Amino acid sequence: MKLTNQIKKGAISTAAIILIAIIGIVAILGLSAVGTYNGLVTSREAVTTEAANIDTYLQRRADLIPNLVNTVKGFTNHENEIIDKITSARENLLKANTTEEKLAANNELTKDLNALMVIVENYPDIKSSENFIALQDELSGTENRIATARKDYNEAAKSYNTKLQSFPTNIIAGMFNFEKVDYFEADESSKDVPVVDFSN
Amino acid sequence: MLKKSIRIVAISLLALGASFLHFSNIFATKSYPAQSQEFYVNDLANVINDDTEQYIIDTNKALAAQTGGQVVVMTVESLDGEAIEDYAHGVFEQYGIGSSDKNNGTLILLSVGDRQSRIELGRGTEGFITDAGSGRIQDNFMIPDFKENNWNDGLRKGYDAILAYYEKEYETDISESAVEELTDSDRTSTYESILFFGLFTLCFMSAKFFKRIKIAKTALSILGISSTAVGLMLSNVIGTTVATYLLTIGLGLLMGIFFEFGFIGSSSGYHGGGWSSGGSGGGSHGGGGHSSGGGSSRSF
Repeated sequence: MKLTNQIKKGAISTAAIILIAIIGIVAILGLSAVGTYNGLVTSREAVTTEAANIDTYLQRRADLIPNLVNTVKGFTNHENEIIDKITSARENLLKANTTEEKLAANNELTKDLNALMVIVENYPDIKSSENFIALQDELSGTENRIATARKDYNEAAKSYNTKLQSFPTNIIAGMFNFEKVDYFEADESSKDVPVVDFSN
Repeated sequence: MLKKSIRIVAISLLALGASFLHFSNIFATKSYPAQSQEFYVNDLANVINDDTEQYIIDTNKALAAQTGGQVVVMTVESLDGEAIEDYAHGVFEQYGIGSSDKNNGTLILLSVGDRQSRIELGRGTEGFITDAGSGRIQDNFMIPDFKENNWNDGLRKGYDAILAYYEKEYETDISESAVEELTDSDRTSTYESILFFGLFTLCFMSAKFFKRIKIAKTALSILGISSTAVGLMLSNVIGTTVATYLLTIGLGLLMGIFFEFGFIGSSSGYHGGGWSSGGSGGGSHGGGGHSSGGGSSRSF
């Protein structure tokens, strides 16, 4: 009698322990599934935000070009070739649809702008013009922002893609159709941000 | 036997959890020189005199109290081959200059060996100083002195010019007698600490209370172990916030069950500072501001 009671009591408490533990573990698993989903949404949103940042700065850069062109034209009429090149590179940038196309067009624009900076070396008036220096600062500041935004984008994309593929996130990602995103490769030639040099 | 192994698992998780909470800040990559105790002046090239240093620190404290803005001055011997734009941006992000909601920090970086300088603007600063403005500040106030190797004078004049932009933007007068106030970010982290401490205490006390009942004790230990384990292992997936909540709950439960009061005094002692991001006594620290890479660079 005493023995059966003990067994019974033991059985009940074991069952209760298992039940409570299972409920607790299910609750924790549920919480982490929600957390995983939210985490994926957050990092996908971060990728979108960074891509939008790149677009904003590219647009800003395109907006600065007419001012620069006019400033140079105010000093000389002899450099129409490079000015035409810059103007058409800017148009290509504005016509581009995807961020990737825009970045490619921007690289072309950077090459032409660098060529202009070399030419401007022959015009001390332009070089020392306050307006030109200000524009050049704005342009290289914007170029640097584009480089930074691209780096931030790639980091956000990498962390999102890594999350997407790792276990157990990939189960949640598969259930809700989260897809991998592309990276934006940096064009090495566009990394040389022109520095205003006062050494001569 | 089972009880003993649960206990061992729980204690090792506690140790792991405690170290995770303490060192989670260190996981961030830190490749640039650590900030000085004074934070506002990082004179690695040793070119700033004591008077200027004290002036920059005092005015910055007033500026931070009134506007959340921070203007950090840094000098280095060499950029170690890195572009000054990348170096300045890296330092800016690592230090978190300016308040986290206004992003109104500025970094003045001078590399004596490379003969280059840069003013890096926070996302909130670039609106009122602008890239062109930062270029003009360098051209008019800093480069003339830098060309003559008068590093201290150039930095001080440039710093004053930047400060003037802040005073105009926030319509304030930065006097050295300004009373220091808590910035917004300080307050937030205080609230967070209180919240976590409350949650911890709640779990801790209820575990202490219920551990007398055997079933509850086992269930709570399993709960504590699993939430600590999930919080530790999946923190990069479920987000640091959720992971911290899980860890707080788990550690609270486990401590309540397995530790007697004598032990608690010391172990809950680490708790208060566990989650705030290092509000060290004495010196200042960054408010968590970001830069988008704006500003301008000069060679001289």
